[in-house]
Amino acid sequence: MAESILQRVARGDQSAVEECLSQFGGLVWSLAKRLSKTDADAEDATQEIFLEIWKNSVKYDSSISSEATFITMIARRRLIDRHRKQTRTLDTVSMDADFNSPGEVEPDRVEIAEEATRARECLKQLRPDERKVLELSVFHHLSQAKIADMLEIPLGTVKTHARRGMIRLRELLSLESVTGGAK
Amino acid sequence: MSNSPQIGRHDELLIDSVLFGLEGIEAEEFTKLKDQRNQVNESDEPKVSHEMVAAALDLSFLKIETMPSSLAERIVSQGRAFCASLAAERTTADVGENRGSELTMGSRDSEPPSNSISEKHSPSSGTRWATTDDLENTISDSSVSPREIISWATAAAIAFVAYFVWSTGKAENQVAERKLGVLQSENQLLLRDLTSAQKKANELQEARADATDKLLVFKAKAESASLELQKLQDKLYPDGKKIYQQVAKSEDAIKWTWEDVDGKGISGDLVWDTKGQSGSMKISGLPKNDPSEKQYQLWIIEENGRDKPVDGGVFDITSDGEVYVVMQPKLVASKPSQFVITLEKSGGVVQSNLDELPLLAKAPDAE
Repeated sequence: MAESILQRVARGDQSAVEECLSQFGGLVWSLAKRLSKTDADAEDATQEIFLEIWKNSVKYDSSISSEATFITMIARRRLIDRHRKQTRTLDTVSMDADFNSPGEVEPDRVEIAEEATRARECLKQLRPDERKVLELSVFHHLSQAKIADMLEIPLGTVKTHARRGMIRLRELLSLESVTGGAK
Repeated sequence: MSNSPQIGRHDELLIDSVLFGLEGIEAEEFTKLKDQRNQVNESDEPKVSHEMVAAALDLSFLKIETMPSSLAERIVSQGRAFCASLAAERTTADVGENRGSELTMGSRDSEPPSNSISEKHSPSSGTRWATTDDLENTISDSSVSPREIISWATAAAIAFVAYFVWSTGKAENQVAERKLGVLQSENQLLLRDLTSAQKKANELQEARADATDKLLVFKAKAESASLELQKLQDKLYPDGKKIYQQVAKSEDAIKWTWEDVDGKGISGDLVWDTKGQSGSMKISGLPKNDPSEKQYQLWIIEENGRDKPVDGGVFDITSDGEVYVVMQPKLVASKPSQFVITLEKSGGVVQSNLDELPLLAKAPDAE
């Protein structure tokens, strides 16, 4: 197997940095932008995330996850952390601009597109209420209380839907990776 | 609901943390649970973690946009600096190994130099790191002075450590600089807010001072108005007792005692201030009158023997016991010699025939 971009970064290969940016820059930027109030804030977050990516590149294991998932994990961790520190409550997430359903990933990043398709296929197999809660939580990053308000269901039910949905998704994704759905 | 999977508390909180982030009590609980698991050494982490699931979900939802080129440039230079620092770190380590091998070689001069290269990359295969003994051996065998070797190694180590620190620092510096920039602009905004707040506070203070002044003016006006009102009230509805006390205090006032003309047990006195032309009578035992029929009238008889007594005003007695009546002469009484009270027809008369004259006060002896 060819050496991955992150493995090259971990080796100190400077040319891998630019490749990493062209491959995953848009991904990180879009994640950061979605969870930041201003563009300046999103730029700060993106820089912080990439610094984390460089530092953690040595931990990347291609047998466990794809690079896109690994980078998304790092980004999410950082963003949730930043977000909590900044607002102390997740309820303040802006709901103005485009509170639409999540869109399809542009197919110009092959690896990301594959990952997205896989997850979307698995998501389709969840119960509709579980899917809705996960969508509001992951994509719109709403708090549990806010989701309960929006869907007019008790907070406990939101938690249950979220947890069951995640467990089920994990089972589905594991199955996928065993049956060769993963790269 | 039927086939709900059994989720442990740890997993529940783990899922909540990757989806929403944890805070407060739940965060503490999660930390405790993680610690417990670590102690029992439960390493049943599945291949696909919840965090990976959330990440995959995020990927499936995301609309990807292009990063601004200026930001991408900054991140590339940050990444390059990081790689450079890694390279520097490795070179430091390599040089350390090389020096170690050379020094070791010094004590094993029977082995060919080629071996040292292969051994360098597999230290576990038998090559050992330089020890103090090796160094001492080298000192005795080598043509290079030990002092030179030590100083060279030290200098090289310092140089590489410095380079490593510099290059790692550079990447972090850029983030720090960016943060500094953000903080500076936030600071400017706060300063601007502070200035405008101070300006507003000053304006409010001025307005308050102004309002206080106005309040004082209004208070003064209200006080004087209430005094005026009191004067008018006193004039319209004079309080006999009050005027009696006021006049009694005056230096120019003189007290006159009533004589009970018919011996009906009527008593009292009056105070009169000629200068101020004011006075009040205190009377006890004068019978009540029916104002529609008859009224009492006061007369002031002048000493200089003016023809007619001065009309001092009519009044009614409406209660038993002590009553006070304000004296309201219609003309100036410049030198009274007697005060006389008569009972006249309702409304009083211009000139009394003194038919009913219950009270009389003559000028006190002190006069």
